[in-house]
Amino acid sequence: MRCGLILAFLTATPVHAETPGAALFLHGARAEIAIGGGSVRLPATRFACAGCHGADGRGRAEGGTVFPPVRWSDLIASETYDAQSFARALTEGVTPDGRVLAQSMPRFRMEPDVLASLVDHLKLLDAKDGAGVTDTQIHVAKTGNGALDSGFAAAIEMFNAEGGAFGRQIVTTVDGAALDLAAFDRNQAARIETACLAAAIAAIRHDGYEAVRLSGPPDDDILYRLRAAGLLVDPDAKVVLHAGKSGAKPTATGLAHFGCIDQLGPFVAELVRGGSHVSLAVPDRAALGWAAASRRTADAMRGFALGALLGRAALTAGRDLTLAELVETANALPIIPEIVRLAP
Amino acid sequence: MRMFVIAAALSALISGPASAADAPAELLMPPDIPVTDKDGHTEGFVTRLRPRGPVIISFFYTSCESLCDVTNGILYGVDQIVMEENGEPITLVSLSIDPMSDTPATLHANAANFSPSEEWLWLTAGMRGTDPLLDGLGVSFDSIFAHDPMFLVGDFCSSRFIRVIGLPEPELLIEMARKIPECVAG
Repeated sequence: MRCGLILAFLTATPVHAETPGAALFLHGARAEIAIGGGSVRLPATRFACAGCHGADGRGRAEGGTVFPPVRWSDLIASETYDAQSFARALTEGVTPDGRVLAQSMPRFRMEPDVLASLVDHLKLLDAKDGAGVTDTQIHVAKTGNGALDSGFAAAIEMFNAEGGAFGRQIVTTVDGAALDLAAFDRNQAARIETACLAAAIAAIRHDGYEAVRLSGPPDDDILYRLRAAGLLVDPDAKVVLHAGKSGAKPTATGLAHFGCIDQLGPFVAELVRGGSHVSLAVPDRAALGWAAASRRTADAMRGFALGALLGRAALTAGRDLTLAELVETANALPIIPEIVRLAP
Repeated sequence: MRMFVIAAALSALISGPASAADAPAELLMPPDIPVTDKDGHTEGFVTRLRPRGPVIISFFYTSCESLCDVTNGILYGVDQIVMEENGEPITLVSLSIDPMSDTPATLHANAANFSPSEEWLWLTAGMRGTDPLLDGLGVSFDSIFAHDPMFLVGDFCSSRFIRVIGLPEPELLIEMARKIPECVAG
């Protein structure tokens, strides 16, 4: 799960300073954990509550391990928790009924003010439960990027016209709790870049090439991926891989160019006119088709892809939905780019 | 997240980690697939681990924010205790199950959270090697988001390993590793 980032997706309302309890719950801040029977002590930053229990506190499952819901209402519904007994459960792993918590639950150490603030945060989760999702709607806050928002709107219009998900339609909003589309876009950009790079390298291998030249300065990550794929880096190679942060206009023509559509797209026409073969890794073929048919920009195409991804996530996540679960589900859906070939 | 599908899982779950030190070993002979560590060094998995004696292997991915860090936290405990004891080293392996995202750079950044000694290797077998390597270790799963915590304790000289499902205390893993007979096979 990737809950540490999820708070950023969940609000379009004014951002207030994070309380110590929220910082602990979401980021593991200002606490230490003990695991392995108490013999291992580490900062809690890699052990945030939200990582296992979800940013919404509703609980999750991972393999055979169940992480129970921890909203305050959930805790007091099962046992007679108060601030003192909650502190004991968190620090010693013993519940009010004397039950010993599983080893998968670290024992936490923190200052009393952080603990008190954490209890407040768990109570706040009750109040926020279901924010941004109603029985009939999933609320999404626009980015302010007109092109991207228009692409997103086109995708969710199609999604809604096809019946939405479990009686819900995705709607954009300007106020109230909502999924922050701009933050969602930033998070997906990294996943898309990684998936496109892997697809481009796989296509180069598939085409039988053994060496590539890079469009920009070498990057350790890219070099590792090429080496792992059995490809050499050769400045005289007949294949150019466009990856990393170069963003420069390709000057070499008459070669085979591979790369993600986000990077290579703006140069495709010129490259093909110059006699080059171009292989584009396209993360969402439907978004490309829509953008090409309606003569939209790359931002609009990205917005369309985000809308389609959220729609798939809404269908996959199920009926009992929160915004946190929607984002987690979207993050877990695979991005499998297709290779689009263009010849002179 | 869904479960690792592991042949020996049921017996290990039934017996629990308390008796894992005396659990029967299984024979594992994974292919010698090239693996790359957090510093970018590439070498065959078996070639690298065979001369190192007792090995404890766990499975993780760097973007995981739940049980992966608990399993690596337990390895951190093993690492610390073995260093304090100043005895025979035990090699620890955190093997990535997410070759798409986990490159040496991301492994390096993740490892920094646990201040690993030189006996603790952070490895990826890359896009082509990860699945066959996991197959060879008797590990499979439907999704990287669906794995149970698991450790393999053994050595690549005898190729015998005990599979521990769950979250044992570091001292138990050390006890198991210390019980592995010295292997002198060629």
